[in-house]
Amino acid sequence: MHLLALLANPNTMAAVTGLISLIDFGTNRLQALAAKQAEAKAEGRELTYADVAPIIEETRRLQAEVIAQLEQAAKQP
Amino acid sequence: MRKLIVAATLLLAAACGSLAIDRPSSAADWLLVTEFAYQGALKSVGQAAAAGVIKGENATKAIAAIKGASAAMETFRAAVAAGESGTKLDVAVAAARAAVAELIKLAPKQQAQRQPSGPANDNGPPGELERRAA
Repeated sequence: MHLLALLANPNTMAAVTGLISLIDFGTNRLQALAAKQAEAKAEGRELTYADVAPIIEETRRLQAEVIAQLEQAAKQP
Repeated sequence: MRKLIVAATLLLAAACGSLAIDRPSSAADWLLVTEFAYQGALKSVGQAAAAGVIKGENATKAIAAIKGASAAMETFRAAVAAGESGTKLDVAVAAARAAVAELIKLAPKQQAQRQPSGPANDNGPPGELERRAA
């Protein structure tokens, strides 16, 4: 009964969904890292700034999203 | 449940932040893994905010920490883009890694008031790039 009550709680489901999303994100990033390194290796060269530039843009977008999220969270007591 | 989320978040952030960061061989390689570590840290903080673990004054502190990390990352990016090497690059790498590590510690820090424990923060030895280049 306790487990069922826990599973029925919308907060639990939101937490589980968030957790899965986070694990998926981490896995995806590690795969992207391996892909970039493999790409450069196949071409017989080291990574350059140009390889990283699109990732930098991704980071900047994510950073803006998280700051917006935190600004909302900051309004909560 | 919140403790579980924070623990899992911390593990993932540590995996993104620490394990990957030990692999790079060139400056751009370092930048790439640090970008991913930073993204992992940002995502973790975002998730913690969404779960209500970070809110109020702590959220304001988190914003300040992100801005600090962002500045360190920009310095690092500029150093790599300009083809810097040696001490100047090492300093930029160390600052960026330290800033990302601080950000990773942020989410569990909110939890620390209730459960005072956390993993060790291994930033690795300084001068890694110089040693590799030698």
